[in-house]
Amino acid sequence: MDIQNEGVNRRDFAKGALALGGAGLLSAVALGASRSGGLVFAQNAPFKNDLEVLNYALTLEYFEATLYKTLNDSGKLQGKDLQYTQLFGQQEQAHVDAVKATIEKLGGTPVTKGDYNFPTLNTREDVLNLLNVVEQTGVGAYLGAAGYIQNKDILAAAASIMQVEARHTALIRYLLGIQPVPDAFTPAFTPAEVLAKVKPFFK
Amino acid sequence: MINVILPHDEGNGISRRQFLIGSGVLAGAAALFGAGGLTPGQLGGIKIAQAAGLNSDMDILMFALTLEHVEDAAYRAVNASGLLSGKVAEYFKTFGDHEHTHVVALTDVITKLGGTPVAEQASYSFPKLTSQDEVVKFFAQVEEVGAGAYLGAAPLLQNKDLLAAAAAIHNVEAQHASVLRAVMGDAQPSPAFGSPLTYDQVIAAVGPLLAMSGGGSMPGMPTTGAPATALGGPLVLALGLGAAALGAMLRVRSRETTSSDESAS
Repeated sequence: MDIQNEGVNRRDFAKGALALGGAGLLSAVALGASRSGGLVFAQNAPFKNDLEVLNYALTLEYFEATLYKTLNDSGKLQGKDLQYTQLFGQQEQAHVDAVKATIEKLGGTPVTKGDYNFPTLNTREDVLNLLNVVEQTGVGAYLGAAGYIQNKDILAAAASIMQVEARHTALIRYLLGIQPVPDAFTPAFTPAEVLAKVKPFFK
Repeated sequence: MINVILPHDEGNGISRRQFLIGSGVLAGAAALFGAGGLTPGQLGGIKIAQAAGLNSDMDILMFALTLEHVEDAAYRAVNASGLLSGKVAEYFKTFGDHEHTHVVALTDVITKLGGTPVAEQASYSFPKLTSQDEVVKFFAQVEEVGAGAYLGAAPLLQNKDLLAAAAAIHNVEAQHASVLRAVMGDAQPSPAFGSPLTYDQVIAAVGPLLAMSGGGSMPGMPTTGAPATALGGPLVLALGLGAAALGAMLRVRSRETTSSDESAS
């Protein structure tokens, strides 16, 4: 597998089309629109190769795993809430382990765990709302990066993780008693959008 | 009733699930989920299995549309059945709307790309469901098959925009499944990693719903080899709608799925 030498292939991938959302995306394809106005990354793909995508994923997975651990230890969750978030935290850790192992197997250097600023939260709703936002960001990050992945096996693996992040968001909303699945298509975010969302939590 | 085992992690807590997903043709239609996939140690030489019959983006879109029609029709039927109440009824109304949106979107893009979208069948062979609990369980299984189908097929899409859209739909199928599992009281309503299904596995699961006679295979296509009884017994034609007529279906070509080594988790 020749990951390192894949180079910067100009990706014919419409970041703008992603912003339209699923149905709009399908229409854009049908109309032959491979690019549209207002693209953030029209000229340069933000990822040079699959290793960069995997390290992007690992950055977020470390963040999520640590957040879950912190919140699970905070004493602010109980009962079924805690049962779910403990499960999800374990699953995020499994994602960390798997992505890290894959990067290493491919001969890359995994990013290290970051230092985070987590807010002090007082209520169960605050905790679950934060987890919901973070998980939704994760889904959107994977979705926004999927088109840059060259290797089909890595793509399939990333999608298998992304799916779980999506499940987590729905289950957290279920716990909150709000519409668990609000959209027919989960939203995608560009790397710039993801960074903007998570930056406040990184030291 | 299709007998789909909902994907769970093996053992207590998190098992070491394989990360890189291989083709993993699982033995027996009844064992649709389980320890499939490959360990990171098997990274070299991994190939995503070319799902039998999915040889182009159009094939994949048509496959997806076929499944979405099943879901759309199933939700419409159950939402009119009076079997559901309260929050569950609300979930089903919303989820059904999503599936209909998926049908419309896929139909639209196939048409615009010059294909002839597969139509909803005149009827389907849904199992006879008599309680809300049975309904939730059945739909959880159907949604899990949908999520697995997309996870198995979407990475094969060549066009990156189609890939992104299919991935977004796939996420929603998984969300539906997990919510219904939560409603069922599943203590682990999400697995750690999604499980892809091959084309053959999906056909084995949903074939009976498409009311195909003779062993769960589509007329004109090679049989998957899975006898109908492996799926949990003969299905009961529901709602007295009579035998389904199969309309124009997927343009598919038979192909052996690739079997890769599986290791236990």
